[in-house]
Amino acid sequence: MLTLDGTASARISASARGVAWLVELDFTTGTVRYTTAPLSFVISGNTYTGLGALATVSNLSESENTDAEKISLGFSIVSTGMLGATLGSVETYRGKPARLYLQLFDETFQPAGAPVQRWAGTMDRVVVNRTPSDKNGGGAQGTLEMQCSRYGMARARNAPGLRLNHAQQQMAYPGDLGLEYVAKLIEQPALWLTKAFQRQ
Amino acid sequence: MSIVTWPAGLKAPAEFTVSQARYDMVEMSDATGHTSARLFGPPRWQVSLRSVDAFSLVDAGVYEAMLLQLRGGVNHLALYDFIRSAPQGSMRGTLTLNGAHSAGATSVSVTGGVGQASTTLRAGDWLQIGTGLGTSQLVKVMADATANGSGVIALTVEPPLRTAFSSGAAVTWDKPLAYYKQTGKPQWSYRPNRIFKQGGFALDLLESWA
Repeated sequence: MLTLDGTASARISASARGVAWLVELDFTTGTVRYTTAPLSFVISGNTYTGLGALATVSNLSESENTDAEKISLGFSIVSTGMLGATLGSVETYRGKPARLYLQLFDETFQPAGAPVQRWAGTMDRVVVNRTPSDKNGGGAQGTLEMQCSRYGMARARNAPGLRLNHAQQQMAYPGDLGLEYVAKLIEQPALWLTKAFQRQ
Repeated sequence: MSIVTWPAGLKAPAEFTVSQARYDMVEMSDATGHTSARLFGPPRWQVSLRSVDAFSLVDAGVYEAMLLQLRGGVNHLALYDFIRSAPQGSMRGTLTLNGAHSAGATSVSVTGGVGQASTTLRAGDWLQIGTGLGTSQLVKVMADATANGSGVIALTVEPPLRTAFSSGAAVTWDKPLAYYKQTGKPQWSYRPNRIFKQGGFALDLLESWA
């Protein structure tokens, strides 16, 4: 459940309001802060660069299972600042923290209330999407897509990766041969013929 | 990026349309009429210019040069309202902000010194608060106001201030500028067999502060 402060609560029930994402990316070279609002803002002492429509954030979902729950942050390739940051050395961002905050705005498009953290995870990899120019002379377009995973994904991936097989049984319980033929039984199932069938 | 100005001597446009681009999404309940507005960003001024229909080739060349120097959406055009280039009110002189103003403010206090005592600004007058690209804003006065004996005038303006302005920031009343980017493509038409052979310049602009 989202917990908003008084100002933000009042604003979200008002008839006019704005909402934007605040994004924090902890590159090894420093923290990059930007917002999907079209203006730059100083919020909680930090300056969030307004990228507006040059930045997108994919839909968020919540669940209790071990699904990947990835999100992607999109940047237009005309955002040269983000281009430099995300196309730099992979060591500068992969596995490093990323955070998303929800910020409400009032009718004069100024921040209303404190931002609320909605998601936290790590930066994963960057994909470059290009759309070539069309026959009518329309300009080529492109986006950088930074995929981010929620915290604990490495551990979550291991859980379904564990298999009930002889090798792992030996590691956990040396000398226990209970699963010695499991793989063979799965790969070469023995047919059990019914008594009626054998009498034919 | 550079800032292109309206060339001196170039004829004012024959048609000058000002509008405000708003980035809101409004939903209304059919049953109750309740509306909810979602704001996606502050409004921007939008201008459409149509040139006079007949230029000499020399004058048209100046127009062409201005259009091409905009380099599509790369450079800015610093432009003022050709019709409302000065206030309808009587306030003139050197104006500055009277006190610091925070972002989002719609009430603005301006001073012109005792020399501007009892002068006025009228609803619809333009003012440029601050100077320069990204550090100034073009606003419109919303209600008639009269300066006090010290030359201080309290104004209501639209749109709300995008950024904070410090006390003493310049306030320009004479040809107040906004900074625009071209949204269409530069083009013109020729008129063979006429004395003035070129015209049909059109320019669509959208305010851009970055």
